[in-house]
Amino acid sequence: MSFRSSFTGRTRKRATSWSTRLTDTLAQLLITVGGIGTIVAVILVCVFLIWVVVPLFERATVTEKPILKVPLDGQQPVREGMDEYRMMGWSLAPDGTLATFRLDDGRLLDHATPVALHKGADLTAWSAPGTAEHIALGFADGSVQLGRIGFKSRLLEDTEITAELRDLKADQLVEFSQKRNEFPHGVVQRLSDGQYRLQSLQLEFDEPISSGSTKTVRQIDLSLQTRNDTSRGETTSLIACLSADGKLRTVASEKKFVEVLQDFRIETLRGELRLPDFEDRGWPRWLLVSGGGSNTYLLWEGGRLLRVATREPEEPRIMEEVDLLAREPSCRITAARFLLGKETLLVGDSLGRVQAWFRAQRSEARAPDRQTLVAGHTFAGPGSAVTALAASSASRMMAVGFADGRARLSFVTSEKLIAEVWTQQDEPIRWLLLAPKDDGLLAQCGERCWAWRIKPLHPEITFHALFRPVWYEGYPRPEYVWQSTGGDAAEAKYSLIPLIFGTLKATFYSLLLGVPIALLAAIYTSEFLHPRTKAILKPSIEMMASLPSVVLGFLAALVLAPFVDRLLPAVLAGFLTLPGAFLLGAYAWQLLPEKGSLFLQRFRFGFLCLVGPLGLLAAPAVGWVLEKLLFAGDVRGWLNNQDRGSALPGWFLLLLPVAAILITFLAGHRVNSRLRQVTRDWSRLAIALLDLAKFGVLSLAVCVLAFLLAGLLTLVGLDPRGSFLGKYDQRNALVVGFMMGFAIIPIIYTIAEDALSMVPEHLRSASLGCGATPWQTAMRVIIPTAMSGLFSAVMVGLGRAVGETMIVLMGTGNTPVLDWNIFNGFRTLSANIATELPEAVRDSTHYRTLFLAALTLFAMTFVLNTVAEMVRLRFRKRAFQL
Amino acid sequence: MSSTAVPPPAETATAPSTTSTGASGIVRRRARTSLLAHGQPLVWLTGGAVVVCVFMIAGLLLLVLVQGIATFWPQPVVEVTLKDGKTRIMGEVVRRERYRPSLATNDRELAQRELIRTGNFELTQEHYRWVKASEVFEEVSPSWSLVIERLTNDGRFYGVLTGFRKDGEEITTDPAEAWALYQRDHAAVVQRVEAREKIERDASGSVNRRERAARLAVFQAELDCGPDSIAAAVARERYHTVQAEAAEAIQRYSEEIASLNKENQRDQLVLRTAQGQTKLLSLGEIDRAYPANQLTLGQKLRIYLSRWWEFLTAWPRNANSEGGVFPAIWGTAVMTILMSLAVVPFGVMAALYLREYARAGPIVSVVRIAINNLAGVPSIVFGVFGLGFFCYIVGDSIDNLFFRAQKLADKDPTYGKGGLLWASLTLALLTLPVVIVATEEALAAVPRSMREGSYACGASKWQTIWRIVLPRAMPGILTGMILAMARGAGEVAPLMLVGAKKIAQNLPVDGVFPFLHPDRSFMHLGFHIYDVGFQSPDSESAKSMVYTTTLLLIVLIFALNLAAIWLRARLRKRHQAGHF
Repeated sequence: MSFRSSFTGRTRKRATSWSTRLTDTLAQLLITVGGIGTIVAVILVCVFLIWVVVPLFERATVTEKPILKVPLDGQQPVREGMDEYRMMGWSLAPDGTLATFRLDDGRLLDHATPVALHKGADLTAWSAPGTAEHIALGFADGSVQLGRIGFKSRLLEDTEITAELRDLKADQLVEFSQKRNEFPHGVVQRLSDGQYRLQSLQLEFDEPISSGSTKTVRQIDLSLQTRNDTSRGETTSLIACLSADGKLRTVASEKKFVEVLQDFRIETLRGELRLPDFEDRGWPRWLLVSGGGSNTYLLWEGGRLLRVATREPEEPRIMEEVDLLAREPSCRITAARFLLGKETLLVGDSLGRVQAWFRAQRSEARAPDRQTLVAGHTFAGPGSAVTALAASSASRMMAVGFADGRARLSFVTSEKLIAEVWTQQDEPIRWLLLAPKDDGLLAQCGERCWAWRIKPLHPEITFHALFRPVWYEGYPRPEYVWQSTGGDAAEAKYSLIPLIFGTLKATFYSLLLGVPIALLAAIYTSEFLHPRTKAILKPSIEMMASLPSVVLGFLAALVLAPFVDRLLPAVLAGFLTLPGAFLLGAYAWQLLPEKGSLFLQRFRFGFLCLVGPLGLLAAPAVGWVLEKLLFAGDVRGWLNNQDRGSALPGWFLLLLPVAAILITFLAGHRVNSRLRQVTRDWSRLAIALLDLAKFGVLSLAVCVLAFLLAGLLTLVGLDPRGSFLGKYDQRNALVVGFMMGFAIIPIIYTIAEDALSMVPEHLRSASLGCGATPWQTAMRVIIPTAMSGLFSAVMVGLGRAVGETMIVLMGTGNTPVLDWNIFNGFRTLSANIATELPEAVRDSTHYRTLFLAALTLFAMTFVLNTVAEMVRLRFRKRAFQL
Repeated sequence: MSSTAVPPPAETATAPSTTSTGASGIVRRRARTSLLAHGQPLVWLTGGAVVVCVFMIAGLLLLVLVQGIATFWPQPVVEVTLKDGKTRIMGEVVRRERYRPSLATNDRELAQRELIRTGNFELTQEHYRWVKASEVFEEVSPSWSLVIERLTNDGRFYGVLTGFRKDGEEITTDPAEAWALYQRDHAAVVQRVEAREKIERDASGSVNRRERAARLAVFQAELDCGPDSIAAAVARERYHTVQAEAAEAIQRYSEEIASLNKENQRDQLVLRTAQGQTKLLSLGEIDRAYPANQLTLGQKLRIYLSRWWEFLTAWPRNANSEGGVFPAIWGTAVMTILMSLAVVPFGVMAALYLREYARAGPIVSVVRIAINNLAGVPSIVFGVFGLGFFCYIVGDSIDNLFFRAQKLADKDPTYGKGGLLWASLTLALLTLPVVIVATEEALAAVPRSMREGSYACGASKWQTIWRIVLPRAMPGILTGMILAMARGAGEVAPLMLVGAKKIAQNLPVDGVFPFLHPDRSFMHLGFHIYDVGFQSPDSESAKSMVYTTTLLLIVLIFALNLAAIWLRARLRKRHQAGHF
């Protein structure tokens, strides 16, 4: 607050009032905070995407739980299991006794032989783990028995809750006795929401049936399928067993519900096969039946594998014999079992390696079914032998136990090592078990059990799985596949490459159509169009940029696609006749006398508008002629059928534009200047006629050149069908490219036109003043100066094409394929996100992978736009300097 | 950006110029530019590109315009007898086209065929039928064939009027008389239908809401005080009484509805289909009926306009392929307005900060480039962000904090799913760069001299901004806002993820407290186009519907754009006059 005297002697208060100051400060604060906040919020988009994506690549977490002492009286159990809440487990001993134990402290709950088990003879064989809870048992008298050892889980009623249970803390377990149960002791857990869950063992055994002989069953395995469409429990099963007489016997039974009888009827088929040279080779160590019972594998310790087709169970046929350890004669197979789905065979050997074998369709396969076993994945070991193998029942995860007491968790398809755990004991792991929900691992080493709690996170995703070919089960070779819906039978496949490829394909074809039109139109608008026409034309084209893309998508799918479908030859011919019409129009124009031409010059755009439709009208006729000449009257048939006709016409059409550009370039450089020298004294009409003749000659030259090149390529044996051309789909890249042209032309046009108009006027005047024609000025002065501006226009158009969603979503069939064929569909990153994200479960692998797709899209456009912006700023600076 | 530099009109360029040739002799002669130097063919090629652009745009707009406008025009009804003598088809001819009869033969002979909208879906299981010209024996236009648009989900009905029934008794068999009776009674029937809809929507709606509120109160009390508390017991007690009352009210309403329906079913039109079947249609099912072959131009116009009116004001029927798009218009409008409310203050604040407060330097230019770039980031990416951040993180937290009872009661999140609020915020983020850039340009265009003048008069910075800068930049800011609205209204991809629905039961803004329901999902014109045009089972009748929706959307967006262009022009003019 300062008071100063003025000249008049009066004092005047000059201070800013406090309210003004306060408002000012507040406004500054608000705007600074709001402004920075807004900018930060925008940057948050990117940060958030990264935050969601990062867990995809995080490592699994493993926590060790106390060591259990499981009293399993020293016998190596033949099968073991645990429930999905990791409350209790069971193990079956070779003598047929079943033990159940708690998983929190390892205490034994029950120990007995199931009542329903076949008592007439000794248990001699048992099926390998693989088919959920089902088990097949073989006996010394040649009979076999099917059974199910599973769990029953329910919440306790209020009346069942005792005082002891009420004192229980959350997540604590306690034993619970039930009457009327073969295995009376279950386990109760108090859940965090106050309810009590009871878990108990449930057994079912069918009546024993004959294997077809009375000889001792040496090996047995089964494959069992439950019909999904009925809840009645209809099943089809295949039991394969190896009897002591060296014969492989199959028993296929179909359990059907018969409406009339209101009961099940079982149909049984039997077959047998004598193993060749069985005496020399000895007994196979493993007998394994694949999913659906289609194949039975017999595996010897030395690495020999015999594949027997059992799809027709009455007559099993030997398909092929493979040596799984071909290169390592000293090596022995020490463990083998199926992965989820029973198609991939995991084989562990004495060197510590694990191989994953599965059948694949191959042309070089010698087996009658054209299939052969391939080793899709190989996991190098730590050096000590594999002693136990376990596979998840929810995913393609496996656990491998080694002789030195360590265990490894890996994801088979992605070959990702999820975790390695140690039992702290230098003894081999006797058996391993993965919890049904993939959240726990149980291992017996020596006399004790170890339990780990694991969180595998997203084991199916690695950089390799996303961006490199992966060998999926049943595929003949490693491939890029996007197939997000997966189940037991077919796993989800997350390769981003087909989607990125689709995005690039859409961008490529739309730019191929859009860029030339937009740039040429910009040149004409800025250099040759009358300002008054330009004042109307430019805003109208600009306004098209705001046309909603859903409208374009709708028109692409329901109007353009059927139209192109119906008039394919005409549409293709249009790409030739339209430019042809304009060129011919220009040559005709040149024939006009100078006076008339000068007078009509101002109406040139009107003439152009007249010539355009002529070109379009000529298209159907030209299309028909071309189709007749080149494709024997049926272009669609030529495209769809690779064997039909030669590759020549396709190459010819594809190379026509290339040849045209080449010839124009050469003629522009060599012929034109020569011609100008020669015709210096000719009359205008003569020059025009000469020019027309030149056009004719050059067109012919273009055709000849294209034909020669096409012939050359055809001779080499290349065919455009399968790469740039191919099978015709109604919704295809041509349609999308055309419609996307609508979306990007206005953008490229606007920026390019601005860049051309911003070239300083004095450059133009100087060039014209030196006697250059407007065309020469445009070509040699304006365009080179504005080049970087034009480049940035194309980049921005590229950015828009990359991210466009609705047009590609509606205009293509959305199949993630990997070929450049302009006549079929594709799936882009953006369309994929739009269709799949609403269905993706939050925080699942699929969800996060889709976020990764969004991040990829973000990164692609961000880079493109930044480059464009940099170039544009540099161009601006240069334009101002000039 | 647009330069005032005018390229010289091409005609000046042919002016003769003088050149000297030859190094030795001084041979001067009048030189002319060679014709070849004009590159006329290539100029024509570039001009051709402009023509192609113009044709593409004009063709697209014309297609939408013609199809969109023509859709509602009543067409005559034809009855076609095929050459087999048995098959008769009645309906409206949708289009005629030439086609190649068989793909195998290579002949170029094209045959004529026409697509007839046959309706009567419940009898024939098809809506449309292709008829080859070669099959047609004769084509007549029966004078008393009616086109009937139904309120049920069976689509249109085509038949010849043969009588009128009241209470099951045929009053007349004379079509003219029956038509007169129909016209007399239909208005009353329509009133009853409206009364029924009012009961269904409003009265039952309020009863259901009361019941739901009571149910929520039970869950809330159980959450707050525990399931055994007195409060919970009281709430439960109350819920039971409300439930009983509601059941009673619903019973009453359904009786009322039943009586209205019964009254509406008393009058029936007797119709004969092309195949000779007799069909009774009660007046209550009929939305609109007209004898298509007897209409005068005025009547046609009336039907045309009434269809447009229905399109703009009614709810959709028959899986969105009939009726109106009122909820979609309303949803688009509310969403766009909410979006602008969110985007304009923040966009202007960011622009003010960048232009007026931040110290110019490399950081500010980097931020500016980043914002320009964001304008080019695909909209679907913003949709992904909206779903992941707004719906799943912010919405979920809101639900856990304030809507736990609802979550328990409905087993469905309130804010933790796509909805109006999240859609608006997502689009606000998407359009933020547009507003920032436009505002910055407008601020930059305010002459420095004016700011300096203001400071010289002793105004503070904020006073200068508030009284001098902002008013002058206002048209520019408005332009930015309108452009943002135009972009937001036409954007569909992000909405597919954050809240647009195929059919929404309720409007996002209605007469029920609290009037604005930001958690509701909504219908949207653009999404409507995608859904009806692309996913509808009956694509042919959906197509005509989509054309009208498209026309509406394009008109809306172009109107917004034109407003922006107009404002920009005004702004420029004012600036040219405003320098001092």
